[in-house]
Amino acid sequence: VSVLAAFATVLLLALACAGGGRALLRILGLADKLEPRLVHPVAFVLGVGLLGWLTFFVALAGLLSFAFFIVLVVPGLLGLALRAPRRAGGFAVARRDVDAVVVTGLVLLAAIAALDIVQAMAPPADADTLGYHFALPKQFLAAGHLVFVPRAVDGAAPLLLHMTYLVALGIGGETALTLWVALLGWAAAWLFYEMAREFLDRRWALLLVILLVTTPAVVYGSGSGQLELKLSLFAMVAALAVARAVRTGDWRFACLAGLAVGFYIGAKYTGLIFAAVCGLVLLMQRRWLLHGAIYGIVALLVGAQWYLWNTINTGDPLFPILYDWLGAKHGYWSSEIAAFLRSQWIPEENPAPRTLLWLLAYPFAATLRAIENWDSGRTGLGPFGLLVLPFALLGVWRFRTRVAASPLRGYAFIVVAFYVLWFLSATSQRVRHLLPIYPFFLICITVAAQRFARERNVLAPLYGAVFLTLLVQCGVVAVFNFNYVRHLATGETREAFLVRNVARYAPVPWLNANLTPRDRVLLTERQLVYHLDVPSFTASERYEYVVDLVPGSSDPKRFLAEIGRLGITHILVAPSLADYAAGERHFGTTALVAYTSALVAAGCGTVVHSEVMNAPRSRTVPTLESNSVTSDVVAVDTAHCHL
Amino acid sequence: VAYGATNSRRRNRVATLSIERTARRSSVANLAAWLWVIAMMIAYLAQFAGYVRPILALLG
Repeated sequence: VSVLAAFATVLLLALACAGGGRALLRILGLADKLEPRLVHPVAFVLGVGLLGWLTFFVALAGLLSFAFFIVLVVPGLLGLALRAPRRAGGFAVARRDVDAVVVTGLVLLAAIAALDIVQAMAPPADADTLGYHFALPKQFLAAGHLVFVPRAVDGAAPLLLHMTYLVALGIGGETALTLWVALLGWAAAWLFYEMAREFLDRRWALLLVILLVTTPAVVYGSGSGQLELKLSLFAMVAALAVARAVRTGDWRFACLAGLAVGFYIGAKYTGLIFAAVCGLVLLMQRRWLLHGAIYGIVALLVGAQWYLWNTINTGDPLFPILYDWLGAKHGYWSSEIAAFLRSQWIPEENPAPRTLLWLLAYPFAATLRAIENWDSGRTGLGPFGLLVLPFALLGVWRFRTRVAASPLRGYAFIVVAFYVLWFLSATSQRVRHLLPIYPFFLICITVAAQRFARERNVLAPLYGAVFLTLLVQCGVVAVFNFNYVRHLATGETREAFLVRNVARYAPVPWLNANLTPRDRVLLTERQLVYHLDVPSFTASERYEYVVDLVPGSSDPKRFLAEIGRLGITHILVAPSLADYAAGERHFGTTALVAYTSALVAAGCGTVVHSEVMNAPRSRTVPTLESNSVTSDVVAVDTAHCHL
Repeated sequence: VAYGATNSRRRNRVATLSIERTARRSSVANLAAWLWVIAMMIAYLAQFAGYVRPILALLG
């Protein structure tokens, strides 16, 4: 029954988003201006953005409950009653368009979709997803309202898409949430197909969609809370609208671009880079002033909510990025932790120096080398770009006189400009952060390569490149989903799956069984947060300053006062206090274990539970070496404290 | 007639040479393209050499 309810929830959300988006397109007067094949996917994307945008205000008002979610969603269904333009010939496909490649492609897509549903039936296990993508919506739901999380990177971040996660979780529970994120990934594939059809025939567009959905970074992230593929929804609508605004001169497309970019800004900081790039395209055309003004105002109105929320809570709209200029309210940040985060995070997340040489070399290095902090290799963008690069470059050279007038020039500019700005900014160099612009890259490079190969009669190697890429990437899909198929087929319990797949999960069942909603556990293992059914606080030596764990801090009294203010009753430490005393250390926990040892020595805490925590190096390939560390749960007891 | 026939033969010969040249060029281009595709695929897959045994073990 709960699975049926989950499917019903996702259907309800999908229809509500399609209807709400259609109403927006009607209000803008664009439903008849777009090609009929684009109206439905574009409307769905706008509906998703609108749902996330409206949910922010519902959460802010403290109205997070099942009844209000229904009130929020149901009006969207009314939009379905609005007239939508019909495709010429409906969805019927001419017989000449259906060949062996198309049929094979459709079968492959159906198989991948089925595997995505299997994956959605399993509990979430991705670390980022458990740390904040799903954990924050769950915490907001439990509180009944929006809660400000003064954490850098994964706390005080734009959360527009997370608001749609919150609605799915609030109406249909966890399986509805996992199905919803999978559906958003398929919506990206749908929109991508319709965009590709403007430049490619049915066969090539279908091949590109399969290439996209089997891209390792997509396989890794689309079924989890990871945002990048979902952000491509907003990016595609924005780029499409920008291209139409330039081509037609119609200001309403600039307005649509502002809406989509606003949603992107509201969902992730990198949306600011994308907004700047789209803005540049609009400013480099005849009607630059009108389009630029409309685009800017709409993007600001739509995208500003999370930045205002940060400003109200901390004084810094990009908390804590602007700390050096704006400071931070409530002691949420300090110059020590700002300096520490800068010294640790930037070199870690930016293994390549930001130089012209590396700007050119990065795509090749990220394709051919598995660098851990780039998440390249197993979760990279696959080999297709590299394989077809010479075809595409020769195509650009061969048709150079036509490039400047090509309808693809806007997309090509967006890809190049976004990549350059992204690489030169100090943001994380993880490859998957390029996924929002990857659809444009695929279209541009394939069109150039295909035109050249057709003219020079080298289509066979180009098809070979596609075939070899698909062969490898479908293998990736199969291996990745083996874990989930096994879970479903063997009837494995939820706990057994989580022990096997979530790093250092072991203490969670004990904490859930022995702590009450009045307790609160302090921990550093953020991937445990989502599956904890009791309140928690995620401490960190570099991402938060509410509990000061910056290396060098050594004041147990202050630590006790800080955790007292948070209502902490238990502390989970790794390694265990005995192993810590014997000299063992674990990444990023030294200050916390030292403080906890001091508390126990002073009679302010007692070890109440111990566990060995295992961490698989890979969920997909568990046969790779894993690591383990001991842990203690310490109950804080200030009654007999003599610190 | 003799002059016309010679001219026609010459034209045919030129056309044949052109087709042969195009075919040669095309086959060289095809060969080069295939070499690139295969070489780059091998270079790409090389980074995963360490995963072969664990994946085989996983699949039993």
